[in-house]
Amino acid sequence: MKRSIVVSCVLLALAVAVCVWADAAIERALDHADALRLRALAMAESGDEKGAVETITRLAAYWAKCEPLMEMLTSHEDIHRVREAFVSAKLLLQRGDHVGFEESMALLGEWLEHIHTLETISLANIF
Amino acid sequence: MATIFIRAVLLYALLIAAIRALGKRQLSQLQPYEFALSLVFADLVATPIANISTPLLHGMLPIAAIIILHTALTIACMCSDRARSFISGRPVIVMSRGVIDELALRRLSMSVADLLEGVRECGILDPGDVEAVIVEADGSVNAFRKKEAEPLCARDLDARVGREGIPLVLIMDGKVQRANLALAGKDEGWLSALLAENGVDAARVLLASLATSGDLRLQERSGAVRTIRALSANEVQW
Repeated sequence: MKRSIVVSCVLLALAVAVCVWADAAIERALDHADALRLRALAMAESGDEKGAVETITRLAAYWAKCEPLMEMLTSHEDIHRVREAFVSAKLLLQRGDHVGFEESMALLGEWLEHIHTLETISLANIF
Repeated sequence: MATIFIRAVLLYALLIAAIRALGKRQLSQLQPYEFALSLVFADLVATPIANISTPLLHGMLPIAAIIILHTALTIACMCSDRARSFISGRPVIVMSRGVIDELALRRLSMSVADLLEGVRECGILDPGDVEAVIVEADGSVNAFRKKEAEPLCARDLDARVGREGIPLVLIMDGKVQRANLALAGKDEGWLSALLAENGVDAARVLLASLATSGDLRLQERSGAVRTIRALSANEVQW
């Protein structure tokens, strides 16, 4: 019995540690990606299209770096949708389609928020 | 494709480890909360195996949570009778002194046909031979014969019979079982000498078991079965 209690306590500690670490890692990635998204939007709105494209490229590079870890922690479909959104936003901006660009960036924000919502402990998620 | 294969191997290994950690009862009769656990485990493992876009942690963490909860419930059941009866239920006597308790049967949602089926599964054909029937917490039925319907045993005949303990398997599939030899207070040298004396090669023995009577019964791979006198009565230590 003593061994079962010890094993359960170790397992509980490990599970809590993994959950806390995973939450922190996902939040960090999402926050940084959203910050880059907002910066790119602000640059495009102020007329600095080149700067906006560079920022989206940085966002793409950052997301590619985070992807292996993110794919271990959350749904692959959500991660790929984020990537699709900023690839689409970059192409639209390069073509001069500002309306389409803003729509894509809004969608990107929604997907980032969606991942954040899924990872949050809430009554909606539990039930 | 290889990914699915590797995920299946990892999750299967985790499942085996989890079931071993939960104890041997998982493999035999299940309490209600253990039965629920078996159902949930299967589903938790199946989804991450088949769906690569679901992280492996989405299968492993719930399994860990269930192991922790199961251990807590098991400890509660071991430490408290009240907790055990609340979580697992209590055994119920549905027949006593040969009389069926219809109310008890109805509370268990059992019919008389179910009762008779349980009695037959215990090897009793005639319900008139039954003294008592208990339905255990795990749902299994245990039926007990009336004294006059029980087979004769040595005690009824006042016969003195020797003790019959657990036979020790000394050779299994040609391999010597050292732990059992140690239990018998002997070593491989003794076994080799005994077998050589009787013209038997240990590597060609399929099964050799040492009974508490001191007889070593062995079956060779050729199919030949022999009994060798291995120990005297006072040499039997286990």
